[in-house]
Amino acid sequence: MSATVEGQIEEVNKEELFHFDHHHTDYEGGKFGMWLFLFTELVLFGGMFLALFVYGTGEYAADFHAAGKSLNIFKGAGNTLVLLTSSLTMVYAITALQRGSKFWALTHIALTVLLALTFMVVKYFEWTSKFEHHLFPAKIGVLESIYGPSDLKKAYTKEYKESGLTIAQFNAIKVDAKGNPAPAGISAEEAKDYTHTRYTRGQVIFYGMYFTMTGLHGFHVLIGVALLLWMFVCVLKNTVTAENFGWLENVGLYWHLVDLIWIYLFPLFYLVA
Amino acid sequence: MSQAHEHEHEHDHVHIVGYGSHTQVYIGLLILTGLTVAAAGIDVGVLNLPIAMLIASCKAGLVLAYFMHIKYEKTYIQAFVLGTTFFMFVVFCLTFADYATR
Repeated sequence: MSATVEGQIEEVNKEELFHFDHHHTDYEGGKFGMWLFLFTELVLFGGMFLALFVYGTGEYAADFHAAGKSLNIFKGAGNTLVLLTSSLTMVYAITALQRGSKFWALTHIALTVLLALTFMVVKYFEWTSKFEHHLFPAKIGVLESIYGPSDLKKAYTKEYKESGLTIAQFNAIKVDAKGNPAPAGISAEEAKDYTHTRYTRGQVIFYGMYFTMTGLHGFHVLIGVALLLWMFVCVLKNTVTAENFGWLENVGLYWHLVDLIWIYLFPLFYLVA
Repeated sequence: MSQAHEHEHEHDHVHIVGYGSHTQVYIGLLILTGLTVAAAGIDVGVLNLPIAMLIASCKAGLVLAYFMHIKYEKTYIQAFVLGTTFFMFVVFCLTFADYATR
């Protein structure tokens, strides 16, 4: 009696399994789930872009303009090409796998990882050059202390009006850690303390957003690298194959999103000047 | 893991995009990138930002449609992507309507 019932249950389960398979629920569900996740990513970065737009077009427009000029456009454009190319090798990897070429799928995944790492190396040099100018992520408070408690923008306007300095000339004046410019006739030894660059409040916001947004983007690139390495192992071990490439496609979607965000980050930060 | 996907017909409906089409999209993206950098060199005042964003959106459209396969997806996924984009657009418009009228 019980054996019959168990047999029936088994029968039903088999039928359900077949039904499940027949309608490709796993593949399509996985893809749609990935898209839902990507939407949350879009909104996460979207909020930051919104803040960037409001600051950049409002009262800080001139400051953003000045600060944007300090970013290296060649490194930015170079990194844009690197990410675009990595998107190409990503889709090549998927096409190669779908057409049954494991070797080319692995090669293109490896190339994508190499390009992603190239992007991070360029990013490292970019950030390092900012550190040399005493611009640090998550240290905006310290930057603010360089200017003292008063509104730096007002200080700039006042000084600008009195002496007729241009924005570039004003910003070129080196100050000490407390934000005081060097007095006339000091010795070379004393002048060594005056190595800090003075930034206006708007420029501090610009660099704050620059570090936050490119930092979060860079973090996504690193996650992408980890996912791609995982895919490399999966293809190697035949877990991801020409018949079952849903995971690789989803990692590809993630990778293209990283590219998509950079497509907007590049003109907004590097070309805004 | 692989058992669920043993059926040969499983991915018959999947549209495989060839290397050639991918390369064409890539060249298009390169041209648009060059255009962005070139356009940034020309000062058209208040139009600088909208032009840069327009070119960026063209690039984003190419990536979404071809690299991210949206052109070949089912209607409901396309609708979700359009819906999310539209939602973001509305949020941006409302924020700027508020900011501009302060």
